[in-house]
Amino acid sequence: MQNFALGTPRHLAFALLAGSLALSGYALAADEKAPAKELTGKELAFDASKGNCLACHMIVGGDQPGTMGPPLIAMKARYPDRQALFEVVWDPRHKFPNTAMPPIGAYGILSKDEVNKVVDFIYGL
Amino acid sequence: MKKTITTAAMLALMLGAPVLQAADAPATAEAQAKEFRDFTYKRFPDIKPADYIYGVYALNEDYRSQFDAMNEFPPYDGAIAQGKELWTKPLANGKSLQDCLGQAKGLRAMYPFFDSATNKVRVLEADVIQCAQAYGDDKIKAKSKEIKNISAYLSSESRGLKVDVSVPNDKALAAFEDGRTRFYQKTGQLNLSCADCHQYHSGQRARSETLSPSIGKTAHFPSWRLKADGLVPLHERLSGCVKDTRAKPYALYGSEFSNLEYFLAYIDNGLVITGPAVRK
Ligand code: HEC
Ligand code: HEC
Repeated sequence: MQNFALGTPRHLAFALLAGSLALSGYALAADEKAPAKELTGKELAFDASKGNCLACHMIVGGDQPGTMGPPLIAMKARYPDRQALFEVVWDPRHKFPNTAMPPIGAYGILSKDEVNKVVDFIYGL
Repeated sequence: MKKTITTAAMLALMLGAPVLQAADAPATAEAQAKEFRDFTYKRFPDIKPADYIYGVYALNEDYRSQFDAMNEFPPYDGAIAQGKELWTKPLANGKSLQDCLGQAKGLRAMYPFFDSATNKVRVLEADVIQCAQAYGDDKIKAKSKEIKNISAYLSSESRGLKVDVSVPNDKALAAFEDGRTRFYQKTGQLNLSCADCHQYHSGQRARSETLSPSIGKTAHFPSWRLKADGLVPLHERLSGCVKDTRAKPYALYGSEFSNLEYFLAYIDNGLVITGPAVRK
C-alpha cells in the first residue's frame, strides 16, 4: 500500500485523497443512491458539507436553522434582479463588507454551477 | 501647579520619554480591553458581568437551569484526583512536577503571564509539558489524558481566585495585540473570525448551537464536554473552533494560541476561576 502511494503520480494521489474525503462525508447518504448523484439546489443549501446555508439562515423546510443571517424568504421581492442575488451568494463581501457570511463561490465552497442551483432554489422562496 | 505637570507630561510624551513608556503599555491594554468588554456589556445588558463565566448558560434562565441540572453529578472529580496524583509523582528522573513548578495551590491564577526573560507568553499547560519533558517523561504531552487531568487539578486548586493578568511592558503589549488581532482575523474557507461568532453574532445560533459571548472564555477551563465525555483544555477548544472555519489550526501551546489566550484571559480579569466546568 505504501509503495503504491509512493509510486502514484501526484495528481492521482490528490484525486484519491479528495475521493476518500468526499466518501467519508457522504458515507451515510450515498448508501442507497448511485455514487455521483447530482444534488439539487435545496440539497446543496441544506447539506452541512456543501452550502450549509441552514447553519445561519431560516429556510422553509429546513430543520434546526441558525439565526446568524436573516431568514431567506421573499427573495424575489427583495432581489428583483436575479443576478444581484447571485452576486450576494457568490461573494457577499461586496454588498456586506466584513460580513460573517462565507464567500460561497469566491472561496470555492460551491462551484458556479452549484451556486446557480442554490440561487434558483432560494429565488423561489 | 497641576497644569504645569500636565504640560510637562505632555511634552515628555511627545519626546517619547522612557519614564512614561513603562506606564503606557498597561494603560493601552486596559483601554482596548474596556472597549472590547463594553461591546458585550451593551449587547447583553441583562447579564451580570460576573456571570460571563457561565458562557452560553449566562444568556437566559432556561439555559441556566439546564446548566444546574448538568452539574448535579460533576463528572470530572475522578480526573481531578488523577491529576493530583500526577502532580507529586516522581517522573523518570525521580523528581515531580511539583518540584518543577511549585505548589499547585493558586498556580493557575498566576497564568498566563508575559515572561520578560524570554519575551513570550507562558501558559500553564505548556509549562507543565515542558517540565515533564525535562524530567524524562513521555506521557504528559499535548492532547494526552495526563495533561488534561493535570490541567483540571490545577484549575480546581485555584477555584475562587480571580483572573489577574497584566501587560507590563511594550513587548507584552505586542503579544496582547497579536492575540487581539487573531481574534478578529478571518480564517479558513468559511472566512470566519472568533469575533464573527462570539462578538457580532453572539447569542444567535449556528445551526442549533447558541454562540457564547466573548467575555468569560478562559476562567472555567478545562471544560468537561458531555458531548466528548471528557476534558477539553482551552487550546484544544480554540483549535476546534478554528477547524470549524475549515482552516488548519495553529499548534497547541504555540505562540499564536498562547497570545490569544493571553488576550482573552486579560479580558477576563476579575472573573472567578471555576474550572473544570461542565459544558455541552
Ligand atoms: C456563517 C453564516 C452564514 C452562512 C453559512 C450563509 N450565510 Fe447568508 N448571510 C449571513 C449573514 C450574517 C448575512 C447578512 C449580511 C450582513 O449584514 O452581514 C447573510 C446574508 C445573505 C443574503 C442577503 C439577504 C438580504 O437580506 O439581503 C442572502 C441571499 C444569503 N445570505 C444567502 C445565503 C446562501 C444561499 C447561503 C448558502 C449557500 C448562505 N447565505 C450561507 C450568514 C451566512
Ligand atoms: C463558526 C463559528 C465559530 C467560530 C468562528 C469560533 N467559534 Fe468558538 N464556539 C463556537 C460554538 C458553536 C461554540 C460552542 C457554544 C459556545 O459555548 O459558544 C464555541 C465555543 C467556544 C469556546 C468555549 C466556550 C465555553 O463556555 O466553554 C471558546 C473558548 C471559544 N469558542 C473561543 C473561540 C475563539 C477564540 C475563536 C477564534 C479562534 C472561536 N471560538 C471561533 C463557534 C465558533
